[in-house]
Amino acid sequence: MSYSHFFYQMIKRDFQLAKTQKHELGLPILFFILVLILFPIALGPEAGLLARLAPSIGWIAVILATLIALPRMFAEDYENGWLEQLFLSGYPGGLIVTARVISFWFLYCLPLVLSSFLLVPFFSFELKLWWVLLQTLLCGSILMTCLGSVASALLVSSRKGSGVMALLIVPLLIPALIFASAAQDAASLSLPYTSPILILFALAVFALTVAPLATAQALKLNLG
Amino acid sequence: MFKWLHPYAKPEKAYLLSLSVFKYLMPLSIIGLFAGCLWGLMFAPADYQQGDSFRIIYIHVPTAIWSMGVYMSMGIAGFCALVWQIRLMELSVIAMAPIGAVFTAVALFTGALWGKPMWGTWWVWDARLTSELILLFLYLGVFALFHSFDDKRYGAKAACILAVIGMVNVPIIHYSVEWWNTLHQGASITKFDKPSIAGEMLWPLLVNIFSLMLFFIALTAYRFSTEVLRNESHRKWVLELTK
Amino acid sequence: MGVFESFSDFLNMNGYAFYVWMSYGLTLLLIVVLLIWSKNQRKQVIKEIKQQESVKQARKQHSQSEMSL
Repeated sequence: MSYSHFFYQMIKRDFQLAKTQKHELGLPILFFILVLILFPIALGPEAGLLARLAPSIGWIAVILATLIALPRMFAEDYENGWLEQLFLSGYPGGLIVTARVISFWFLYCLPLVLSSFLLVPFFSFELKLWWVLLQTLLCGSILMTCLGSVASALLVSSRKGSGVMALLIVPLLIPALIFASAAQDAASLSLPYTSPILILFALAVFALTVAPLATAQALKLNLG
Repeated sequence: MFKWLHPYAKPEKAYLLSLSVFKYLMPLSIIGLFAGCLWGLMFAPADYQQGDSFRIIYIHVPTAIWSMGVYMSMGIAGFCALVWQIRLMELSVIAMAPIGAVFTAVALFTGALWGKPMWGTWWVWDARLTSELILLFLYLGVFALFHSFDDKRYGAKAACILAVIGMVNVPIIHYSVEWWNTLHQGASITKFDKPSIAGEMLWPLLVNIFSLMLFFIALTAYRFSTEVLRNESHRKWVLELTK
Repeated sequence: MGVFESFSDFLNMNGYAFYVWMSYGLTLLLIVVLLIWSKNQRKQVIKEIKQQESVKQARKQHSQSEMSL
């Protein structure tokens, strides 16, 4: 099998598996919506305040929901031995991991990012600003998936890992949050906002290049 | 040079070397720190603007400098461990992490204690304090990752990977936080940003910075030797040593 | 007493006593805790090595005595 065909098959397998366990895909989105509901209840239903906080709340909720989903990235395949088979197959580890990162992003992150549209009715968020939020979240979620793949690979064989996950990822995500909120601020003042988004995109591309290698290394380590 | 270094890759040699490093440097560093603090507290003249509260600088600045320095050396050690597969390097990463975390914590709360009389609040979201806080969490992450494995050998390797990733990220975090801070500029904090410091005040500071480095090296050597013992616990030389 | 007129002046730090002594004291405390913790870790490791060694010895003796039987 050529590398590209193998890559395609890997992604296809992930999507087919996802079809059989649809409820698992829905859980992070439900969690995301729950977090969104908590904020108006805690802050009070004042429309102006909520509209101002909406992008930050959206980002925080996406981070939290991704944290819920991340431990599943490699756990199942590690437990049933599929991952070990893959690494023994002789295909480069980076390729295997990249395929998994991409399918994870499509299955878990993209629905989350799209469901941030709920901010528009719930938080009386402007549609124009939501468009900016969508762009920052698209770049940011790629970054999150990449960093998360390293963390979940590091913790895949650990029994007490779930609490550590947040400690590993969140500090590394702070730059992304800073650039996203800078873009949002600029957009709300109707200033040009492309440069922070471009920086975010650059970070995402950088992470997508480097993180699979680190992830493959971490998985190899865990497979012994 | 590498021929000379080579024998120290043997755990036994490394253990003995690190113990003797500890034995010589630890008293030296403690004397240095004591002298520096005493000099700073009693003989350095008071700052005309900040009065005697500026004497916190003699612990705040050295710990802040070495909190970054320890992370850098941890990242470099982790990188060497991963690239050249040197087991002893992994152990040194584990030995350094708690020391760095303590330095960072000290820098943070002395910063808060200095900020209270100077700025009027315990905490401001200023660029350096914020990146220091993130650094603390990076240290805690390395530490927590090491302890979330029952098998310490996996834990050490995983901690190395995380230390390297953190080292790549530290500059990004640092500059983004600085940029974020200029976006949301606070009012009058910048006045104290870079205090130009007089010679008599500077000398004890330099003494403390240098002695804290010695302290870091000595304590790392000590903790490293413990990790070597743990790692080599089935070897003959360890059994002979502990008898 | 250096730049201070008396010892009580030194302790008072011109009114900044709380901040200065608090930061020095907490630093000392944290560093001492770190030192003690490192020391204890070493003791623990040595104890474990000794335990493991004595178990090994006991096993050896046990198997030897069974052999002689």
